[in-house]
Amino acid sequence: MTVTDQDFQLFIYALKTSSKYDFSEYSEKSLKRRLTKILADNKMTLNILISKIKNDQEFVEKIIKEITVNTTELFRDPQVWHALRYAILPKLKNNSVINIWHAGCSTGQEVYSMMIVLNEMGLLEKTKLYATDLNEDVIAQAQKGEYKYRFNIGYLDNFDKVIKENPYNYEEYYDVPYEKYFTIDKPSDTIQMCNMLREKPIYKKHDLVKEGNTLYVKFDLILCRNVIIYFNYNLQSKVFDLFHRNLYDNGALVLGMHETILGSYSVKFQKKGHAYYKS
Amino acid sequence: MNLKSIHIQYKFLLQVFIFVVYLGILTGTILLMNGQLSEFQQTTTKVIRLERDITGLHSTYLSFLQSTGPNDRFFIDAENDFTLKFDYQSAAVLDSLNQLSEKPGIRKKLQKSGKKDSLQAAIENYSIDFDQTRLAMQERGARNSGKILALRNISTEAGNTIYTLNLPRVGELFSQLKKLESEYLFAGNYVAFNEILGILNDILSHPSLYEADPFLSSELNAQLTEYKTALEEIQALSQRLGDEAVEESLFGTMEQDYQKMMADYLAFKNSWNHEMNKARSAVLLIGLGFILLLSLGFLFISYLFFNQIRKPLLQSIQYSQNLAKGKLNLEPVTLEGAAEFVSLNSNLNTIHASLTEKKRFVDSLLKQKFQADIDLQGRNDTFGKTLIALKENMRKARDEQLKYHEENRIRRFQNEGIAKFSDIMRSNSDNLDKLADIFIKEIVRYLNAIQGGLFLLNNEDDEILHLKAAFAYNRKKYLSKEIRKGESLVGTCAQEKKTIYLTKLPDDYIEITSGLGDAPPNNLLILPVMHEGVLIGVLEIASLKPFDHNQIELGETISESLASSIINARANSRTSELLEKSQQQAAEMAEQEEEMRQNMEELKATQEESARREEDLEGIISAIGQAFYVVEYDIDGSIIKVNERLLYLLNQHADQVIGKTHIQVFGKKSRADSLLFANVAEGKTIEITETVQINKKQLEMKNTFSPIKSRDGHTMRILNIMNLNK
Repeated sequence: MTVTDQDFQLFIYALKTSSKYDFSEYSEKSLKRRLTKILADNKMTLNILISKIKNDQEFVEKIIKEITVNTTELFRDPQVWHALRYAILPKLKNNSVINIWHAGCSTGQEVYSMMIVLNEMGLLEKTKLYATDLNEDVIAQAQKGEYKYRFNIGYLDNFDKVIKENPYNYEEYYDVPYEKYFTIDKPSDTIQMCNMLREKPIYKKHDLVKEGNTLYVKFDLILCRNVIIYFNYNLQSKVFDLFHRNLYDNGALVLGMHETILGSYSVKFQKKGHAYYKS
Repeated sequence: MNLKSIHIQYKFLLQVFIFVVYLGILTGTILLMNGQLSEFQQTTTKVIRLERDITGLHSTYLSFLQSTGPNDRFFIDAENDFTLKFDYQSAAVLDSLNQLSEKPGIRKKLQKSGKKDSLQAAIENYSIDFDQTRLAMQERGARNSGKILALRNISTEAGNTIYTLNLPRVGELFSQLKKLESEYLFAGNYVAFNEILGILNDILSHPSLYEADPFLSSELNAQLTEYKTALEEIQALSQRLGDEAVEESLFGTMEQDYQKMMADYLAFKNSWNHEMNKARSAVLLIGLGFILLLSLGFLFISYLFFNQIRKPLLQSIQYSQNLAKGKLNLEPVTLEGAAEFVSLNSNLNTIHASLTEKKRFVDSLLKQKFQADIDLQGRNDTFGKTLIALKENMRKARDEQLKYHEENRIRRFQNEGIAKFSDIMRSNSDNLDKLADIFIKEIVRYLNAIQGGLFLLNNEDDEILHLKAAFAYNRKKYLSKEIRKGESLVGTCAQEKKTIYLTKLPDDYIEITSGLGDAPPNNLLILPVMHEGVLIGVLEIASLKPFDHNQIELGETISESLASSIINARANSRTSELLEKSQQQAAEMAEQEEEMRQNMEELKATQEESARREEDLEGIISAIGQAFYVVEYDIDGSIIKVNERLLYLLNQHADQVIGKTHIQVFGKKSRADSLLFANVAEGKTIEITETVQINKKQLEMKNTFSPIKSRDGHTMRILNIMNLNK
């Protein structure tokens, strides 16, 4: 069942007025598709959905969790991780403290990836990691650090690529065992991240639309990958502004592989390789 | 002996006695005082009476003087009634004076100041002087007595003589004399004495006498001389008596003596009054003072006595009042004071102690402590006996209750056990593992054991039992979790299909791992788990405490149910396993689907984002295209793209231009040669302004060649933005 524009507007309006969530500046097409999916999954018409939104806060929270797209992987896009490991992070190695923000951390694989890389670089001790997402459930999952093994089996390859190999020197090989960072339990089909990694980051629910910097620190590095693709142009700029204001000078912003900064903020950042540096 | 502890009745008697003594002393004192005072009074009366006596005495004297006639026998006997009275009275007065008081004290007082002696002397003097007077009077005599008689006789004789003589003149003289004599003697004409003498002399010296008979005349002379002498004697006596003049006469003396007597009496009386007043005051003062002190003393003793009774009595009353109100937390009363109070208080204490004891007893009864005992106060302690009966009653009731509870407990134990395990088996009928785990844990706990294990046969023909589930279990002897039928106790039970219960095990049979220390359980219960005679498994339970027969019975009952549950569970678990698997697969698929969808979504969103970007860029490029002439070359300089505006300017089609070089299109004169392109390809931006010929027109064009770089810095194409310099 397709969603008409009018329906869609009603939906946005209902959410905006009955809850703290403002999706009016999200990318329409994407959001419409999500809405269609939600209506189908919950077997509701839009009217019912809207009336439920108006009356049931718990239902709103459930919808929010169903709207968000939480695709993520361990060491997603290894070339980005290579850049991080060999180009971006080394710039921070002389800091006494490194602050990293994973905006839109989803189920946390990106955070764990970062911690593994930092540990291999000997920088984990002095790094403070902050991970936020709109969806509380995925944050809980991230904190739990437990993933399906069979789903993630391909991503062990990513691990190898980033951690064990050096793309700039094929002869280098670090035999880093998986067990150093997580335990694989094939019978129960789980990968369990080890406790040290689970406990290190600060996880918090955060709405990039409505909230400013509720982490109250400035950052050396912000990762926000495949998040802004769901925002419209205006909202993208607002988010870039937020990031720009909360980066240290020469701090870096890493976006998704297919994302770029367009518009006024493109001059405020200088793009070098996979990162945008605050200028 | 402690004075305080004397019996009250004795104290009371003592008090009475003291009272009596007091009264006695009081009475005595009063009597004494009274006596003393009345003594004084008596003496005073007597003293007063003395005056009367003295006056009476004097009055007797006066009466004597007045009443003693010439014929009174006084002149003969020298006494008459008056003199006798006088003697009597004077003796009486003296006697009275001396007998004023027999009391030596009073005597002394009377003696004081010597006034008594003076009075006594005066009275004696008076008496003596009266004697003198009497004597003198008697001597003098009256008409028929004494000197007066003598005189009269003489005078008669003389008269006779004269008569005989017959001398008229002398006879005249003598008759004068006689007259005078009579006047002198009886009429009180005391001056007649001299006249008489005169006459006498006259007579004596009368001349007529010379002529008379000498004998008679000498007789007369002698008579007259005797008469004269007698007369003189009478005169002397009279003078002595004081007929004429009282000064220095007996009469005068008597008066004086009487005055003195009165005066002495007065002095004496005053002195006595004075003394007596003093004495009376003293007596009164001392007496009253003494009475006062005595009374105070008595009152004080009474007060002490009263207090001795009152205080302990109040104390006892207070104590008994407290007891009456039911207060028991009291200190015992001190046992002091009179024996009765000691007795009373001792009784009160006993009552208190008894009540306290009984209360304590009841308290222990309330606490269900039936071993408490109570001492009876005596054979008549009905209260105590009732309490004991109560205790017995309560004890019996409690025992019955305990018995009832015990029976209930056992019943409940059985029923609840069966219900509980039915419930467990029902709830876990689909999962054998869970059933076994929960079951073993619950059975061990329910039987207050410390560990247990459930061994199962995989199939009914199997010889080997596997440990399916265990609780606090680490059998040292059997490291493997398998036991063969017939081996060890478990195996034996499996073989024989009978319950085994042991209360003494070898020390190393079981080692507890539940942290209870090294005490091994001594009691082992091994139950066969059978369904319709077919052995499913064996249940082994170990405990520190022995199992009672209720527990064993329950264990056997439950084991039976367990057997069928296990069979069910196995059947169920196969089904549920399959179900689970398919569900799992479905869930996994759904998850995968969702992930794919989300991946799709991301892809789409990314694509849309790219599309947007493209649109954005396209818009920019279009705008540029509108304002400028835009040419795109590949790195070797061949044109790939030209915008509409330029085509229009060139008045050519795209395929006429594409593939050619810049020079080929814009003329040989153009400086945009391969060198330029090579430079731009390296990364430089080069601006050249040149004139080119387009459609026969010479146009000045500003060209800006810039490289279009890929992400990694390689030049992909070259861009030229051209603008007409007008």
